[in-house]
Amino acid sequence: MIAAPASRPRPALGALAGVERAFGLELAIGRGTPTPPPGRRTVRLVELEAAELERRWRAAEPEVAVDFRFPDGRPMMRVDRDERLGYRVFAPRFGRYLVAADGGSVVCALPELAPWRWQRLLYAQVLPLAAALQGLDPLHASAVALDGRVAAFVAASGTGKTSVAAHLVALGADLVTDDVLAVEARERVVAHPGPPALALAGRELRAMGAAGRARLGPRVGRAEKTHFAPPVVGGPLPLAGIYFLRREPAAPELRLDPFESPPTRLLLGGSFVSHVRSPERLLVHLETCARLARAVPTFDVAVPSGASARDVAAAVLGQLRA
Amino acid sequence: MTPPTTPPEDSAILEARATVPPHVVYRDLVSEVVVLNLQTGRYHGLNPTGGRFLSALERAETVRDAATALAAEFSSPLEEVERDVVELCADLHSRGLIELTPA
Repeated sequence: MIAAPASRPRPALGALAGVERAFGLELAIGRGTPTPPPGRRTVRLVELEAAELERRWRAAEPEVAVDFRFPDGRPMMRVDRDERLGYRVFAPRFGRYLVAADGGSVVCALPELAPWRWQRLLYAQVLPLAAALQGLDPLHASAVALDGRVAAFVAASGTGKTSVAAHLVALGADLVTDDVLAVEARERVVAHPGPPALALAGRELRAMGAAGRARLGPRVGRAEKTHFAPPVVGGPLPLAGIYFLRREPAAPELRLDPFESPPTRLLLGGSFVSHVRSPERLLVHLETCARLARAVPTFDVAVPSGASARDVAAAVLGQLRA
Repeated sequence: MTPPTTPPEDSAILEARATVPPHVVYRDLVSEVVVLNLQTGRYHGLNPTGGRFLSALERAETVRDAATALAAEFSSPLEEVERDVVELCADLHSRGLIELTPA
């Protein structure tokens, strides 16, 4: 655990009020809030000034885990790892975080921005990292629940997994997560809900009716996409199917076919937080994939040029209800 | 004098004990068995038959004993199975996925 000294009150983390859990972790916000009961995975979030966070990190002997840059060389996001202190996650304009080596606490230095903006890095990278360090298996997937069972969508960025999930929500499903799905192999393989956040392109919103858009929850902001704070399912649910989306422009029609045998490489390659390469993390991912291969149906979804995310959602809905 | 029918290296492998080191794990993913070196993070794939061979090697005192058990399991000629098992052992050993020690 990283202990936080007394500091002046900062309201930014208060914006997370009402977000009780994400990715299988119970969130404890600030130093004064009670810790959730034992037996539950917990992450405590504490806020500090950036200078204090960097002072703590000065003792690190870090190695670079991730260094994403824009085409012009400007830093986009960087993750450094120190065996003892944990991980420092930094993205200009989105804040900086120290994630403890065991994933049990996160020190946050947040920018003076609307919450929906700085939450993007917290939700997209920091909390999934904490979940992985605590033994969960984050996959790069969106997911929805229908009749108490979860359908997950795995695809390369930009293929439409968020759009497909959003259209399914508009058609009556419940959102589980937008971009990262924490999976856990219990008696059954379960999928944990992500945070209440979803970002959707304007053309997808226009393809929905008003009733469908209303199911996405309140709109909280707009950048290149429109950001929503949707309701998400209350807890882990059984994972009932994984749909691997791929664009096949020349295909004559949208196809949704069960894999004859589990797609091993797609399962192994679906890991999020791939920069964590500890033996423990690698073993969790392998064992989760083995359970998925044995217990969860997998589907190949070939999306031709003329098919929309709404079309894919309708096809998946038909398959789920068959 | 009749020359030996099995090359010396193969004989040595057959008489050896094959063990999977602690930093190597493998799991059955139905269509293949995935072997993972936890130190390097590299994955290796075995078809289901190769996976059964690996399990047999772990259970047996020697590679030869594993081949004998597999020949019975698959109802295949012993000589053929020994060749296949030796080939697999040589491959896994070269990748650092098993250790071969005198039994």
